[in-house]
Amino acid sequence: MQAILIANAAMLLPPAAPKDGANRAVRTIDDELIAAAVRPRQLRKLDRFCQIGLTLMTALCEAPNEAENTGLLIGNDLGGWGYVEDQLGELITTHRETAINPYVATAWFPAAAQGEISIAHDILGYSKTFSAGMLSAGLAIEHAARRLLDGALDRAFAGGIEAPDASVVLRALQAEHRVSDVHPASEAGCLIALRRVELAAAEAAPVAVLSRPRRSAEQALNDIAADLSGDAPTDVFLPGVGASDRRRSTVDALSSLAKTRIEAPIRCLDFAIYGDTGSAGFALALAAAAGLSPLTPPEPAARALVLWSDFEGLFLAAAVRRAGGAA
Amino acid sequence: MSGFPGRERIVVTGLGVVSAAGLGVERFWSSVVAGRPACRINDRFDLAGSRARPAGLIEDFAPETEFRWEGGPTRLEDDRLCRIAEAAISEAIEDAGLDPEHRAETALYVSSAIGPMTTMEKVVAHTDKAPAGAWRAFSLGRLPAHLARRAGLGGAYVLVPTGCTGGCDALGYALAALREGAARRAVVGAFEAPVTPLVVASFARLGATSARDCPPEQASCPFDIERDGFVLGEGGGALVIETESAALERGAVPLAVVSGYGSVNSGYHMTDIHCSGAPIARSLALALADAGLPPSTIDHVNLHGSSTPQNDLAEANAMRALFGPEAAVAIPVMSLKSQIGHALAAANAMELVASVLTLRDGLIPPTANLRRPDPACGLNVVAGGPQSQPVRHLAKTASGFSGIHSALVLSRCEA
Repeated sequence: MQAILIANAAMLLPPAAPKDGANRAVRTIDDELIAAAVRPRQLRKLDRFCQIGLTLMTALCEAPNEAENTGLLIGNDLGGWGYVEDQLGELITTHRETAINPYVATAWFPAAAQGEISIAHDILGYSKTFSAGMLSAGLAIEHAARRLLDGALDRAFAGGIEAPDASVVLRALQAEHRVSDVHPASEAGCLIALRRVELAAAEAAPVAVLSRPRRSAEQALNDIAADLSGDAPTDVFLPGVGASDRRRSTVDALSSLAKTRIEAPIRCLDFAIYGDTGSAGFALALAAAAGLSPLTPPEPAARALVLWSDFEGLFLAAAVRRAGGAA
Repeated sequence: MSGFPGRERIVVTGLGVVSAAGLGVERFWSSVVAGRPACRINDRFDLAGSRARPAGLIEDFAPETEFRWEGGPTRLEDDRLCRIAEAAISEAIEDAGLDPEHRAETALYVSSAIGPMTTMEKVVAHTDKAPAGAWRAFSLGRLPAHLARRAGLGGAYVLVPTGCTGGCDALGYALAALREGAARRAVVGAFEAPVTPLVVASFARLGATSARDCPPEQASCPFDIERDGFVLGEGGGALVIETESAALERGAVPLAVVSGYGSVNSGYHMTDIHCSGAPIARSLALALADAGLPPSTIDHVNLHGSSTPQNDLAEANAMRALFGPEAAVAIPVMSLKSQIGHALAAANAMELVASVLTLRDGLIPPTANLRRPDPACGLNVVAGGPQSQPVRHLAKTASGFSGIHSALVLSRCEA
């Protein structure tokens, strides 16, 4: 396994506390943050997940100077139901084609964010979209790292975006007991700028070593075992799921596994306070582990492990050495 | 000899297909080689105030999963997409001769542009409470996990939902994964069941689908001067690919080599393709470079050929830019969408299956409905009947919304 450099990160999360009078099963990013970065026409014709993506890319403020060698790899699992559901409801009621506006075809599908961001920011290199539930951003970042290391890309922006604020999505989530007033679905996004280590000018940047996507957490940890050896204290980042969520047992198992595999003192952290951040979760954790996020814990350890799952049977791990860390 | 010294070849050892041209590889191939257009009027549901449009519909396949205004699936497991995918994957696995032991270490890298849309539309119709299990349909990432379970595949699984380049992108992802040792064997493919009111209406409102007054089987006419849009289709294609050593260890017979892959963003427009075709040419050039082959080695190109005015002209210009003006009018090309319509991500998976069979049999299927070739395209489009010729290396192109352009190079094993 080889290391990849984390050059920068941008993230968007809703306020930790729900807004007065809002649906408590979902939390949304402040509209003002989106409106400041997205043109009014795009506010009308794009779904929220694309708007979040455009806002994130603007925040990264990195215009690619070698556009054909720059890639964009994005995780998104739900698509754009917020944009579509009312129109589809009318179509179902009236059976009239005109219930659907011409932008639906480009607003709903998960690869829409890849297209909108690449067009707005002139990103012309190898780019892909991944859907893998809570592991969507993980697969995007892992593949970005591989394509950087094999030379297909010199720079990559990778992460995940989710905009679950659509009544049909929330109804489906609630039917599965995935979200509740206590553990809501969250709009969230995080894009990370990645480089090959040898191309990076700033040696002080954090570095990550990623496992391959594996069918067991043990296999994922085996991939990066060399980067977890030694006695350096380690922060372990795990998916944030609700206390009554049936996925909680998987998170607990990941926590126990980390304790058996790392000899050094560890501190387990999750972002349950922010609710279910869906496709963005892995990227948010990686940015926090790298020390590039307001979510980075106080007095962070020099080394971190991000251990994640799609909760269907796929696992990914990343060992992160913060800038100046001694791992 | 193609490729790079020291780099192990990735070979195709199994195929599966479910399409409007037939269920199963041999029926599909027989129909495709005969050049029989399989599109017909979509009679599954009507949309008030608009003319019924043609579609590439699969006959005699799980009719209970077809979209109807009344009834229909509300669980991922029952969606037409899953039935199509399971049938295609099952055939590919059987064709490759994978036993349970092999399956346990086999990865699954697949694509679908829009996922189980029939089920999602049905759930939207339940305005009070979501049916049990509805969540599984809305989370696209559940699809590969479900398909891996159904097929008994124990390796990693990934969904690459990159719209209408998805089939090529799934194979491109798999090629990289096998080359770097993430897996020795994978089932690859793309599947789509998009003939639903939302999808039909969306493309119609965008003006992307054919609306001209003609018999439904003639509506998809790539490279013809009358072309006015694509015809939606459904179906799926699956391929088993392996490192050559893994295939030979278990005595499998390689059908073709996956030699190279390239993919780019155009950065131009969400739906429009620049008439220069420059990004298409760039994806082809990257695929050839990845294969270690010069353009002069390509004997045939299986084009995206969507039958939209923009796409077909852009592809023709890309051919001229990459191969040069003389070679561009000499290389035989075809578009399978003339026969089975455009099944989004699954289109290029079915076209890849056809491409492997072209390499196997030395037969280039005809493009149907080419009555008045567009002189602005000016390509050597195989039409009227199949063209028999040895094909050592071929290229496959695909273009999609979001400005994504992808290309693959496939080769005969002995090339």
